[in-house]
Amino acid sequence: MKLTKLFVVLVASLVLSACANGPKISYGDATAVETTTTDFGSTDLQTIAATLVDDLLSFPPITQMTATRRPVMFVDKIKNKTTEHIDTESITDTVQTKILKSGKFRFVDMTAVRQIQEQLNFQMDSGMVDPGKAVAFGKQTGAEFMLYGNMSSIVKRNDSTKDVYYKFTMKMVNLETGIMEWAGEKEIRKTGEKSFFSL
Amino acid sequence: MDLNPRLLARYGVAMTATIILSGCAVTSVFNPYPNQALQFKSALNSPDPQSSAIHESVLVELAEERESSDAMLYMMERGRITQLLSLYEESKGDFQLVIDKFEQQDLAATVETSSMAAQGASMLTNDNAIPYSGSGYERIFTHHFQAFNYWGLGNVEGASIEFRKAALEQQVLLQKYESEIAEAHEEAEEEQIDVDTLSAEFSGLDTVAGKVKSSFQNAYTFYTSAAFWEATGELNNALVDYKKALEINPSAELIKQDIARVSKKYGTSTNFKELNLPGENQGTVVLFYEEGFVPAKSETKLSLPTLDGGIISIAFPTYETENWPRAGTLRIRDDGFNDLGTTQQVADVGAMAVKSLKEQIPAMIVRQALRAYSKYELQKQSGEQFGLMGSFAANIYNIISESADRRSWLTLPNSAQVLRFNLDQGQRLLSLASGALQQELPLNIEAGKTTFVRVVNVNNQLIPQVFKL
Repeated sequence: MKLTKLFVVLVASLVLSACANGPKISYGDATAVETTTTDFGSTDLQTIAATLVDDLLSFPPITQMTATRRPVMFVDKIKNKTTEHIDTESITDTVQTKILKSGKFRFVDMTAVRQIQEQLNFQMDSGMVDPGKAVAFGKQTGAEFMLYGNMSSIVKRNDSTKDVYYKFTMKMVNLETGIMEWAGEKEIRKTGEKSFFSL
Repeated sequence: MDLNPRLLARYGVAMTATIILSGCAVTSVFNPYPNQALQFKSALNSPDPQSSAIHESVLVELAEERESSDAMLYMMERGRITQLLSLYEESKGDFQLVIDKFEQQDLAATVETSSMAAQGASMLTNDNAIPYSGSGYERIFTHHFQAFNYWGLGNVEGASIEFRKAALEQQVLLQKYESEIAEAHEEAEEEQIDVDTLSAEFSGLDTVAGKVKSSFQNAYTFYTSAAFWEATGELNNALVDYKKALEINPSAELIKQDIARVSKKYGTSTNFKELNLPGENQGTVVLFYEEGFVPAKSETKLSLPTLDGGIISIAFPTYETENWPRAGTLRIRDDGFNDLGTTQQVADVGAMAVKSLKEQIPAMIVRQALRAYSKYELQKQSGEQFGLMGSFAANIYNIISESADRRSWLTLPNSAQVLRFNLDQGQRLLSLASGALQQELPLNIEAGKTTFVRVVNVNNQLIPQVFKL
């Protein structure tokens, strides 16, 4: 009987202590491999950006072209043709940052055009800014190249397995000549399998 | 303290009973789901300030089910209601929960102790104790309607992703279901349960199920996505989906025209004369019409005498196919009273629901047989332990607790229909008529563009919604 009582107390304390604990929070490595689900994740984003930027910057004609100058580029939206709601702007942001940090290209930011225009209007028309020090209209540099791409996926699933294949394509086109100067591709395959037992 | 084991057993039973009863009072274990659904079906009205109080209370009530074991089911209903109230952001959140749960199930472990507990509870009560996990056709509709949410919010790329997901599900379920049925049949054989004698109850279903190619091939979703792809310029996708819709509705002239038109746009020559193409200063209108409510499952209850004089009651869900609702159509006229056409049915959702139930039957029969056995054992045990009164009480419990699993998404339409026509550009006034119901719909037609109109006919009123690209 004593033993039973002891057991009951033990179980009860276990149950209660489990309830009292809050969620566990910890910091992790932002570049660590993440395999929580087969969905598009941070590791995919990082490998895509790293591969494509390396590919672009090591492409011989590009190295040659950027040896003496820093051409201006703009990044267009990346088309999401997958079956997941992926923030493709975040991928282009990473790609753009990496290219910019290499010091080979400069960028015009099309996502900030409206804000820039508002600021210029303010400087010109509000009467609050010294006209001598105001930034003049019509002096911005036009982009020479456009970077764009698309992302597609093939998903297959049966009772026990899910297989996802992503293909990310990026292209760089010369806006004046229309010639595609570079294209890069990154493929990713992920497979998820059911485990037999879980709590 | 010395505890009397019999006393302990009695306390145990009493306590378990209170827990079960209190825990399940709001769910479908003891209250048939279609009864609960009546209340929120009535909330399906167009956004009208007078009924906003009803909407609010129903929506709040449904939102409370977010954490319940049947959350998927309630969020499907809520997402549908909020969508028809044009609360797209809210509806998106509801459907997202359903989609997340579906995706969790995809790779959930084969044996889960948490679900085993529910299976165990179902052995002593009924199938309603098993958390609702959704059917294939419901999953496709979830993605289909989620696409409308993204579309309504102006996120066309989001909508295209949901249409792709719906297509993926149609593909996946085509393979998945067949093996699942075979598995359940095998299990039934192992347990030596004769499926054929019991499924005589459902023999009437086949004629209805025959009306659709299968429960997961939803031609309405195929048609909607095809029209969407055509308007966004993805002609290849459009052609594939129109063809799949035609496969299920081989006699639909409308879809044949669509295929011929897209083929022509694609550069293939066609013999078809009528291509339903807009004139120079015309825009296209694609109309989706959803009528009524999909029928709810009803219950068939059988009481079988046991060898030792007791009674075992078993209950099955079924569809009463004799009183099947007949779908009407929607007739469209322009401001000059010229007939623009009548909608054509592409999908019979009721038939999809029937087919889906039929596919669950083998597994259900196995569970039913095991449950009848465990309840019979309970009866025998209580008879042995507590005498006649005990066995009488167990008998009553058995009869009360045995109720069929009648859960399914009930705010879905019964019939889905489509129509495509062209109008001169400018401000137009359409008149929509279905039976005695009439409503006018102002539309701004832009030349060369496609306007999508969805009209839902429920609770004796037409709810129109306009989607643009």
